[in-house]
Amino acid sequence: MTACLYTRLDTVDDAVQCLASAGEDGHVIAGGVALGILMNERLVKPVHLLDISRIDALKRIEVTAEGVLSIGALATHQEVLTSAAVAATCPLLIEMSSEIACERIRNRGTIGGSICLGDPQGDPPVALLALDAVVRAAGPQGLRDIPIRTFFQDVYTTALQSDEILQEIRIPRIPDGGGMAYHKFSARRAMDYATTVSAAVQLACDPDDGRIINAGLGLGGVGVTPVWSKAIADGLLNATPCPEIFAWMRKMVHEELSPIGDHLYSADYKSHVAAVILRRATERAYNRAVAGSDRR
Amino acid sequence: MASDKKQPDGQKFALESAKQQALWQREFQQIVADVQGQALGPNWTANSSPRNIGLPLPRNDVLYKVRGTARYAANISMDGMLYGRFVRSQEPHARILNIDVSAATQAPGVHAILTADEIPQDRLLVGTHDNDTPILAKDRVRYVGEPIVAIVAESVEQAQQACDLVEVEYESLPVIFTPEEAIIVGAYQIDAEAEGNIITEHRHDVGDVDAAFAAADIVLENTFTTEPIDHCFLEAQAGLAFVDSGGTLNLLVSTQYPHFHHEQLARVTGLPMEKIRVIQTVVGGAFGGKIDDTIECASCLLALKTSRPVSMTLTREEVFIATTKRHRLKFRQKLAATKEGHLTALELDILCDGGAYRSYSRVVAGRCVVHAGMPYRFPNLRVHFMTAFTNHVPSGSMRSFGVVKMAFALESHLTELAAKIGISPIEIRKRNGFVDGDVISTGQVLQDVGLLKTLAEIEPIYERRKRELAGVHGQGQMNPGRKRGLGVACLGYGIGYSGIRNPSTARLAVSADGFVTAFCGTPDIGTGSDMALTQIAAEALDIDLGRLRVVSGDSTKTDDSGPTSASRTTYFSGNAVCLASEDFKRQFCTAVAEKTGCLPAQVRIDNDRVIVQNEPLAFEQACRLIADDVDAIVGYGKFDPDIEIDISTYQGNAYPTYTYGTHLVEIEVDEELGSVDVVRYWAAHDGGVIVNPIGAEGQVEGGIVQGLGMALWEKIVRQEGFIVNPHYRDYLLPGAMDIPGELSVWFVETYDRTGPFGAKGLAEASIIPTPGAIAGAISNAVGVWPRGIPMESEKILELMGHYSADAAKSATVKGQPREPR
Ligand SMILES: Cc1cc2nc3c(=O)[nH]c(=O)nc-3n(C[C@H](O)[C@H](O)[C@H](O)COP(=O)(O)OP(=O)(O)OC[C@H]3O[C@@H](n4cnc5c(N)ncnc54)[C@H](O)[C@@H]3O)c2cc1C
Repeated sequence: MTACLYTRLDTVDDAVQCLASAGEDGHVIAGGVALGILMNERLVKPVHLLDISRIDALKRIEVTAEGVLSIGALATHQEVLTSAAVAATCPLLIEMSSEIACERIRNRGTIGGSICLGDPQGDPPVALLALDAVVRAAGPQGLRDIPIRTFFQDVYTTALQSDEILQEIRIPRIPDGGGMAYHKFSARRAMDYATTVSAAVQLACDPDDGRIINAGLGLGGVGVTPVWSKAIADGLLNATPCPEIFAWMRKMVHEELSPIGDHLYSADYKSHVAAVILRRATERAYNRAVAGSDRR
Repeated sequence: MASDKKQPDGQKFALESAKQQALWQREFQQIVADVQGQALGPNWTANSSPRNIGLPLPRNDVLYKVRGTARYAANISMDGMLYGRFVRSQEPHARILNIDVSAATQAPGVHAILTADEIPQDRLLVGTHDNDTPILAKDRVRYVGEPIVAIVAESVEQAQQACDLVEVEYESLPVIFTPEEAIIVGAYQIDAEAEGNIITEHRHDVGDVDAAFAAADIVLENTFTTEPIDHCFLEAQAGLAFVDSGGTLNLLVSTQYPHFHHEQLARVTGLPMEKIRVIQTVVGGAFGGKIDDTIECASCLLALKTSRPVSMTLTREEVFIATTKRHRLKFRQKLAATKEGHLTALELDILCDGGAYRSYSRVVAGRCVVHAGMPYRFPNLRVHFMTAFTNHVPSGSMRSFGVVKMAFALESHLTELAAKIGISPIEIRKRNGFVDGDVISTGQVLQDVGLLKTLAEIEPIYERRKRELAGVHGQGQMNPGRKRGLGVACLGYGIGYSGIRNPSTARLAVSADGFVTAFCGTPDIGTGSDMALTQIAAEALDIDLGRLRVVSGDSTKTDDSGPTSASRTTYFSGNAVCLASEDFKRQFCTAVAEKTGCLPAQVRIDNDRVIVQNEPLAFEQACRLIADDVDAIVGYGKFDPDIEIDISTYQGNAYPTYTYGTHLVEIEVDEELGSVDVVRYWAAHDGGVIVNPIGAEGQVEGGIVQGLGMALWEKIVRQEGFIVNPHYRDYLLPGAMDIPGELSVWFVETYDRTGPFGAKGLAEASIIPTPGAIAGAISNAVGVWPRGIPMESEKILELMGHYSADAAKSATVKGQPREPR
């Protein structure tokens, strides 16, 4: 690591101002879990670090009057995992957070950092894609809402502008009769990250005939960004889980995704895994939706 | 800029660690008393049975380790200390045209820059068995990561920044990345002395293999592959070099073999032997990876050059790219048997990637040749083993020296054979496993063989789980798409070096206040061997454990007794301690006799007392009595069994004794993904009499988990000579969560007539059966045989034919899946 300027900010306004005046030199640091590694390996050499980790206003997790689940960018994975508000409205995020590394990492890493990094391996982006979340950014021009499904643009590139700070993540109210599931595939049980494939599914079904009436899904580890497939999600509409629909999903996964082969797995195998775990997540989400007790 | 501050000498560090021991020793006496009190059953009185052998005592290093006060080399700092870093080759094979250090010289904080040009040619090359590896590359680099320049500066960061400023101009040379290419006629010769790029080649031929194959009822033949892996000790290579006020060069270093560095340093620095001292610091794991030169010579040369202490610690990435790896193997194995399941012949043709320098390649080859077919009777055997140079980081020694890879193939074939003739994998091993009186391929006759006892221990568990699993599978109690399987594998492993003498020595000294120090040649590398030696010494001397202290790993305090490797410390050094104890008792009793005016024969040590003409004295009382003479008492023991193999015929005594074991594993395969979960593991070992059950159990568990990583995930991946996964994030080492939920270890305890109180060696060998057992279990579960390790999920799925996009689509699912475990 090389020496750099360091400023600690206490409010979002200060942070936005400071970021504007630092210009290209400014680099936001939250939990530092990801950034620390990048700096150690000298892949990122920040000139001016803006530490937002003490901005309390960004740590809130709450359900608004309209039923929107709002999670501050600085909420740690562990806070999401143990939040009563999240448990009551969006158990998918609990299931997802429990799959992130270990408690030490979860205590430090933030949901905002995870999204801003745009790592295709990250777990939170996958779940938030399935949930159709909205990302609220604060910039010199004020607040801006970005649908998460347009947020991840390219390798480690997001829709966030260099003068913006991620403020909160907003998850629209989940309609009744829904079910969700998260599935992560890793070679080992020990904290795998670089080599995982993950799938999140959120769906709702008609209480009368069991047809799927609403579906969202996200996939991780199968491309240069976390991915979301409208085609597959739409294809599930009006269907009930059956071998034919899963065969179709498998075909779609192979067609739609372009995973990158690495030293462990071929691209084909990754597609295969994605198809299998997407099916498993779908089945589980559907069972939960039908069971109702564990709805949402 | 010599600091005029007086440097402390190495004694300070040696004493500090002894002080740590002494502190612990006090707490320890109580623990010993407690454990002894519990362990003494009604039939086990202090007189009739060993008091110290077999006690489940916590190791004498755990306290300072768990309290975080252990002094690892990288934690030690001294006034005026500088930090060293290497500039490493970015080319797999190239001539060095020019090294420009001018910018680095000007960099902030830099004190000295060392290149090969400054080291006389006859001092440049080092190595454990052959001096073939330059401390710093001269004129040519042979692999990516080879050190070229070493720089010391005020801080690690400054040293690294200076390293980044060094410009090396290369001219690429032809590269060789596989042994197959290396041995082609006309291939570029990587090493000046090695014609045909052959590092080592061995042939061993017993009986009439061809006739046996012609007559065989069943022949199995396959090609097996293994990938290079890393030792993955948690503490990277680290050391601190400095010259003390007496002019002695001290090196505090994390190593398996201080005397090796001592001897090399004498030649490399030109200093006389007595002006060098190498002290082993607390070692955070080694597994065979800390017996080559990495930072040792460079840091010492820089300490001499700057007259300042120099600290060097490798980064994790450097450990991956630039220190020895387990050999990559490719081999054909052909096995013949009768339809009754009797093995008749084995043929092995092995080709190994040795990397760019020799390191332990010859040792690995020699051991593999002797272990071919072990632990089973093969009347006919033919082995051809060849290791060739390539432009990869050198391959070296690692836990079991290659035997684990051979066992993967052999145990796979044995299980396959059992299935072919319809008997259990246990039964086939019982029919062919070594028993007392069997003659191995070198002509050596075996005794005290406990293999069948370990099989007998495992058999009922195997039969029970087999029944239970049949029920579970039959009644559809498994999650759909998941299958369980059981796998069995055995091991037989020679203790000590292969076919050459490798003596170990010990000295015992006593102080007037009644403390006995055992100076043992082989250091403790984190396995708890000092604890075992303490127990053996206490037993042999018949004094309380609390009186004993082991000093090992100081090159000036002990004789060169070889490295701590090859499972040799408990057996070799333990025997040396026993011999030294006899010598000690003779001298001690003579001294007491002289003082008390009786005959030496009238004095004996008994249960921590000294009996003089039937009058008991407390041990420390006796020591006080002879206070003036205690310094003269030095019990010496050298254990040097008659081990010799004629390399041309491969006949002779390969090892003084052998350790055996049987492992059973239960796995679960996800049929859709090919991934393997190891759910249960049972291991029975014959390590002779177990000196310390807690320690032994820990070692076996560690070996199993290390074997599991090797079996399922671990591999070094290279592209054009570059390692692409030199980090723990993509080199998949098993973690705590991957340890099977049930992991049970038993010891059958064969009394070894040649061992110290019946003990053999144990720890290293526990890795050997794991990959073979897992392969058998995979086959048992889903009916396919992986022939390469690691047995990755993608490969298993491929073998199952489920995968390839098309096949994947046709895989159908039955029933509703359950919640994940
Ligand atoms: C050992 C290990 C295991 C891991 N395992 C997992 C895993 O299983 N699953 C998983 O999903 N992740 C995993 N991670 C990654 C890690 O959890 C996330 O990347 C992490 O949560 C990032 O959060 P942070 O607060 O530390 O971000 P930082 O490291 O502080 O920042 C990351 C990036 O985001 C930017 N940034 C952060 N916050 C904001 C903001 N509010 N506004 C604008 N920009 C911002 C920073 O500038 C930086 O570029 C692992 C990491 C490690 C080290």
